[in-house]
Amino acid sequence: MSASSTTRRATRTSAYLVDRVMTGVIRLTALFLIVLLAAVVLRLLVAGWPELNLRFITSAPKSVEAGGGIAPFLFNSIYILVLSLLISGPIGLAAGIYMAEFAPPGRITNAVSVAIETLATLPSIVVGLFGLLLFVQQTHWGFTRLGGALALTVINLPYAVRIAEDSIRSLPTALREGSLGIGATRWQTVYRVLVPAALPNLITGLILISGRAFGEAAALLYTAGGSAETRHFFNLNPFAPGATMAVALFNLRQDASVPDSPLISDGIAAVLVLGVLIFNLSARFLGRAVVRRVSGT
Amino acid sequence: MSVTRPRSPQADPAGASGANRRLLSDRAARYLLAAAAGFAVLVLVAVYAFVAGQSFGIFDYINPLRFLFVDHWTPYAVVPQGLACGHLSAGTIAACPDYGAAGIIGGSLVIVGLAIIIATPLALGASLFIEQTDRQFGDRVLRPVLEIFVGIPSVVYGWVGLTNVVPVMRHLNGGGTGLSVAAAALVLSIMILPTVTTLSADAIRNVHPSLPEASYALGATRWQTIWKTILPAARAGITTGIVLGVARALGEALAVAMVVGNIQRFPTKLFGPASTMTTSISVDLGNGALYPVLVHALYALGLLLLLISLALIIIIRRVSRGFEAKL
Amino acid sequence: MTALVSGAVLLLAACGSSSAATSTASPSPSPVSGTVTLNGSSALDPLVAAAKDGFEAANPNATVQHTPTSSGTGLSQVASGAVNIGMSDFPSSSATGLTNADQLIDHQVAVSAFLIIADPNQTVSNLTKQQVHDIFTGKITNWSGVGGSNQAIVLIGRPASSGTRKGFDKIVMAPDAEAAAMQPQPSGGGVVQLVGSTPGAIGYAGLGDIKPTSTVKKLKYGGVDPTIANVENGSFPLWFHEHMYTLGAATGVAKAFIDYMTSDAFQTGSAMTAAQFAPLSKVKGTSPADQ
Repeated sequence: MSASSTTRRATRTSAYLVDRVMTGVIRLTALFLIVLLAAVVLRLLVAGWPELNLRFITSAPKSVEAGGGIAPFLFNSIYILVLSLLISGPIGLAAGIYMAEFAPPGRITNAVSVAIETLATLPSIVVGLFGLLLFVQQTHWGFTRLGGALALTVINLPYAVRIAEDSIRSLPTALREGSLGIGATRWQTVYRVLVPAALPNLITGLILISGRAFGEAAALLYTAGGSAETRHFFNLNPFAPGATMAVALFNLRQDASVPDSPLISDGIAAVLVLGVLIFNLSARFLGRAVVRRVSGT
Repeated sequence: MSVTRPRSPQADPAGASGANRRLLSDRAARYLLAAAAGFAVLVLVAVYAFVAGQSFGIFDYINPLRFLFVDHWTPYAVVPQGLACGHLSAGTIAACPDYGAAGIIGGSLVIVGLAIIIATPLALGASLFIEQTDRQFGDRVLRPVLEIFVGIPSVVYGWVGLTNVVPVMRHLNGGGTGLSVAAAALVLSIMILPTVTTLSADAIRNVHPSLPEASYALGATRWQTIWKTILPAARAGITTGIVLGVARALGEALAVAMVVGNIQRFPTKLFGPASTMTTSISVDLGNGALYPVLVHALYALGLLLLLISLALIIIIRRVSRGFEAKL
Repeated sequence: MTALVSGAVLLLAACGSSSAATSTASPSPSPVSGTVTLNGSSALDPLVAAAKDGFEAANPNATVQHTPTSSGTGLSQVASGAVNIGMSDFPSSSATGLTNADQLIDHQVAVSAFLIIADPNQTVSNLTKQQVHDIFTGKITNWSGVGGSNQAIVLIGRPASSGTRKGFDKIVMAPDAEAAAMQPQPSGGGVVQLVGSTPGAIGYAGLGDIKPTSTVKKLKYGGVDPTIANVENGSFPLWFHEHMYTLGAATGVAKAFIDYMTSDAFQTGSAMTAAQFAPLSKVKGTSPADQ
């Protein structure tokens, strides 16, 4: 046996050894990540467990004693989210349709898509700065739910555009050709054929956006404000200040006015995590269900 | 996605004038849709314009170089009676408020840098797990779970940081409050891990299967294939993931504000407090009308954040374009 | 939507009037309805929180919405019209750069005291004014310098916009400034929490920020216990008047709320005592922090 083949075999053996070691390292890294994330979620749900009940989410916070709830914050979170989706949903859908179906390829269209991409990476605290200036000070509204919803719209809009664009673009070309072939205009093709066909993806996308926006705090701190009506909060007045759950969690950390504020924080964190879970899972199931209904299977 | 039986558009009964009307409405609809796309651009321009417009006021007070490169942030300095602080000059520099933000900007860079150093190897390992070593479990379980984690609100990570990470830092340091650079970097790294991992896994998945197949055909081990073939081929996508992680970490405000200690000087100790651009904005902005010059300075920090995230987007586009050119 | 809102208001009004009839003990002549918004001093906030319940019971259709931030924030918010009442620990005259300052109307509502606190395991139990001053200027950095064990001192305080900070600076620190190593917390409650969990920490917070569940050690100041009784008898000097500012004369729910807080019933009532404030009539003179 020549010396060189021995070396080759040794190299191969060491290569296998390295392979096994590195595979182990990769698995350990993944295991570490899984344990870490599981620990975070378990810690949140276990600590928040005592507060995961109907009383906590349906009663108002107390100002001095323990035992307050988070109903106004929960209500504001939902209210501001829905209001912002009412604005960003239609605009995002229209812009997405334009980008997917009508925009002529070229420099301007390219610039628009860069702009939308840039909009999606705006730091949310900067959106808050913008909102404070425009929706709080210029309008003389003060801190309002509407101002918060508008700031949230700035954050949602690029995602709404992107989801609409992707959903329409990913439809089979045959769909368009069939419609145009029997004499429909492009607009008719869009609203009678493409939008209905893209509906499952649009709905899934809308829910995913909701999940992201549900926990937004930095953009709302100086637009919707840090206080909430705690008494007659169940009203639809868009000009009332509207602290959301995420903002309340941020403010509560330094607030010792109620003795059980750490427990309330744990409760809010758990509700927020559950909210994210519900949004994600419902997006998966609902998306699948809508696909089934539209495709008739 | 399977879509069958699209509803066919109804034939227009009105004949030629109807066809005209249809074309007209077609054109009107097109303009309306274009207006919606234009609106998105307008929003972006408005954000830049308004933030920039508010920030220039600070440069009437101090020059931009001092703002960027001097670490002396004393916005609440009590001005002695009779002293006018119109523009910071050699004569008034000792007593007037100063807005040298280098320590705050440096705090952002140090904390984000540490977070990326912690998160990148973990994300790479986990993405190889998902796409290479354990595809079955990785793709069916870990990937969807990570996608859920991307959506967990940052204040929740901040709360976990304050109650679980900060006490550990206090213990490791053997004193102090525990509110620290290290705590902020750890919280941020946990926060961006799902994002960076998911994007890296996407990049690895998008490597053309012919590449690893050729490598295996040559007798390479899996690790050799990963190291010499797959990772280089996925480099652009992984870089994009990391840069987006940087963007998210740099822009995060409240989770960091909860754990960083908010002392506005350049951090000199890993276990000592610091501030970032975002935390300074979120903590100081509430003082509003009492300190008008401070507000300008905070908007200038916001503008700087905007410019940095713009630069990051340009980097991402360059990287992916360079990647396409190579194919 | 407008119809819905007004419908809801009508409905609430209907419910409210029936319950108002039962609370005849209310000193307020006729119940007001609407919302009063307050923002500012986190030192004054607990007293507002305590007044809220009684006021809302007497006025079933009125809501008190209060946000603890800092005196500076409260002043700037009331001056810009963002809230009805700005809560402040210091007079608006000492705030520079305030727009509309001449239109702000001052309403003093109580006397608030603050105290020096340390972490629960601290052996030192009394500090003189000079010692506190030297600790917060950074001249003394170890507890051994004031008769304690060999342990580094961690300074925790409030941002410059805080009224408690202004009071502390004027009464204890003047003319010197606090060391840059001081870690500012957004509220008095935050100082209490952080000092309670940080070995070697020292800080200052309002008397009302200390709750039965708080773990901090309350330090004597110049040998005097930090109590409301000692503020009233003049022996404990760490106090200042609390102010509520309105933009122009107070009207509507804001006026009713201020009247409620300054009424004899509330000033001498149990809520005031429980929240650890002194009634206006019991404290004579002014403090350096009132300037």
